[in-house]
Amino acid sequence: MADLSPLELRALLPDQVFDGGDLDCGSGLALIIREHMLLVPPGGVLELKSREPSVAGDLPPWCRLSGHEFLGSLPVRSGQPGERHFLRRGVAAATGEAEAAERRALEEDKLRARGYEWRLRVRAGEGRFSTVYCRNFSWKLGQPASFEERDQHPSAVEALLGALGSALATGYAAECSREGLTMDDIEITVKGRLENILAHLGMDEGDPSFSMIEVRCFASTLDDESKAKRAWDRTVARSPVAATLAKAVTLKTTFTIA
Amino acid sequence: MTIFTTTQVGSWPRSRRMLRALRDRRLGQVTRAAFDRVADDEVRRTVRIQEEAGLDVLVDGEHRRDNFYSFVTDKLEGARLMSLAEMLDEMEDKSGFEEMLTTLDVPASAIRNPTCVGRLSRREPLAMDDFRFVKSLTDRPVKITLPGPYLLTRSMWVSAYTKKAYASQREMGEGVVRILREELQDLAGAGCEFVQFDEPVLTEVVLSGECGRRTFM
Repeated sequence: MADLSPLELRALLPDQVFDGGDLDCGSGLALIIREHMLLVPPGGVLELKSREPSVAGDLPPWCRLSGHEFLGSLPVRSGQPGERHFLRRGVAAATGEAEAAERRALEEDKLRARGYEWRLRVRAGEGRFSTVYCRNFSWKLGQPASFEERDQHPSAVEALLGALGSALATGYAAECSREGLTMDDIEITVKGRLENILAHLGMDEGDPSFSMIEVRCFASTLDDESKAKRAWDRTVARSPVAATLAKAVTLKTTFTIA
Repeated sequence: MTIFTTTQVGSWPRSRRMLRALRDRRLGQVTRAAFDRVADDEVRRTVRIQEEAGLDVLVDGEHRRDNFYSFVTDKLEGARLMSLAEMLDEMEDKSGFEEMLTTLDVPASAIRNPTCVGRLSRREPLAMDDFRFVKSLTDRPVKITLPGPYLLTRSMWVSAYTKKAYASQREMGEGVVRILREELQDLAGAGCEFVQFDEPVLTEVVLSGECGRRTFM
């Protein structure tokens, strides 16, 4: 399976083009590639734009296993991050029973993705902390809530707010990259208030839940500001953490071009 | 000269083109010559507007500067332009730092500080090129602005980075004063009519009596 020369790659007329942004094959890109591949006629060409470096290494073996042909890659623009990868849809893989089997398999995998369950294990430690174990990670959290200036570990309340902020910061960076927006900087502040912290401390009857969470995104870009704002709105709407919290608490988000 | 001498204080708003050039320079994506072409145009425009408005002492608008004091990192050995975002990990008092950022209502990346990371010396004059260029555009007297010694001594000292180069803030401060004195002498020698030293933080010290706090702008 010989790669084409840059000249030959540039001469290709892809039947289908899509932008995988910063996704890697482990975080859903494989599903998206397969979905797009099914739209390419047998022997036709799929172009995948990507800014994730690991994709270049993952595509050739994936093509071999799925009966397609990896044709090679070109830089999106010289000196800019990102590559254009070209894949030719295998004729055998695109006809008859093979195609029907791939359609079925893709539907099954999409179903599995929908039913995926995230699992963590948490063990109380000796002292005021616990350790969370998850996949290849473990991390420690301190008390459920803390007012101390300094602590050994962040509190659970802070971890929740931090998870929200980081979901949106990373999600927004990926969304901008998919949209071709150049962001010089993305910074998010998160503030949260509880209905009644005294209820958590057992000093008072009442509601210890969050009453308000405020997220503020500062984005630094010289690109189209309204496009950047729309990308932010999409990021908030598509974030599992933000969407869940928004159901339970007043979640205020603002966006500023800094 | 008129009865009331008029001049202008503060840097000029940067055009979108200038903002892009400043950003590209920060990221090392533009040559000095290409950057200067953009900045020279902006300074020409700025001088023309001041002349048309009838001002007596002209400024160049400080278009080339990252900000009015952090720009010294372009000119000094031993100084590095660092955004507060880069310094977040090294800040001892994180909640105080957060308090300050919240008050200023800005992202940490928007504030860039000239941090002293080595022995300070002039790699090139701080403002001599600016002076020569603006002087070539006008016959009127020209004002050059420089950050004051207190402002620089206060902002450039960040213990985590500076202690390797200087034993104390006072010792670094003496280096700052030497550099500013050299610059002032050079500017005067070249015929610069006015030099303005900016000391905005000094007012805070005078009014609040508080010297130990850290200030970023």
